[in-house]
Amino acid sequence: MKLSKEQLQVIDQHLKDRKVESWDVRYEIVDHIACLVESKMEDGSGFNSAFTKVKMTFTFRYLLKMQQDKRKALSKLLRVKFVSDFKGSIIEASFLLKMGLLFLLAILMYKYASVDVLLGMLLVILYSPTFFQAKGMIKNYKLYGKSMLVSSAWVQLLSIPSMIMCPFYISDVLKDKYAVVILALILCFVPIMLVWNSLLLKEMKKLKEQYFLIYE
Amino acid sequence: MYIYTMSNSKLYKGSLATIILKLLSQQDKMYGYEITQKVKGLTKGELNITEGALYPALHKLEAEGVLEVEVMRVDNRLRKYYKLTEKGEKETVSKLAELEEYIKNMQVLFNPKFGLE
Repeated sequence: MKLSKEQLQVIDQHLKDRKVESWDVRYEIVDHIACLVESKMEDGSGFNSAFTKVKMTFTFRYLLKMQQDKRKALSKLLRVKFVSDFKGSIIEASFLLKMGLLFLLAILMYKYASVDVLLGMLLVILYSPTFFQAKGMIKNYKLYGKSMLVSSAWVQLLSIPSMIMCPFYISDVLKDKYAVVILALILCFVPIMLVWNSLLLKEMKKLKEQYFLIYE
Repeated sequence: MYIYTMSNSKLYKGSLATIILKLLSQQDKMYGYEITQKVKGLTKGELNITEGALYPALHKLEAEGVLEVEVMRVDNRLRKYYKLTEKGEKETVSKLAELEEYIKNMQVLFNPKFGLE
């Protein structure tokens, strides 16, 4: 006898209650437990009784360790993917053009008086995509747990100094010969953030598709 | 809880990866529960692989690139199938040769005529 969606959700909820959050660990273990429950139900037992018997013999305690190991492996995989994606991105013509235009804008900012307006525009251009990407990640992180956000935190943190620097720049504190250098550094963080965020979103989309295969 | 038998589990622990590789070399792809049942069936219930031993071993082999996975929807749920990669096929040959050598040496050592007794 095959389990219904509702019965599978009972098993999944049980794993969540035991702090097994990672989706890719859960779906594999849900399948394993479901097979055990189905085999127990063959002798005529009901779902609840079969599941209770399985819970008594199943070794749940290793799952948290397994989840931790999988997260580490995923972080490593993402870092490797990021390096290759980043290398691929920076040699693309569109990327070089975009960065060239941004540097041109930075020089214009330094040269002309209407710095505030140009800087405001630059900030919107640079941070709008990052903002929407971050919003998408926060919305979807529950599918995978906190690991994705935690592993990406270091990249996000890089953007904070640049965000702090910009208001200083607006108030002319740094409006000297180093301003262009500082702005150039700020611009360097942007491609890192964009490539990293897009990689995470791609990974999350994949997980979400798998998730909805069964739960929606 | 790890792999266990009626006798001594420690003797089998080191062979778990080889057992998995051998089974996968005989079948195109297998999922976790299927592996446990296959081992149980072949050994007539003498050898049981617990999930606490099986999944970490499968994930380790996957991370090493020895196994690859295929996710399929089966009976309202997702099922993760494991299969050997090209590297895994080579690894299986070498692991089996290693195990055969081990068994041969053990037989020599414990043979009543020529061994330790």
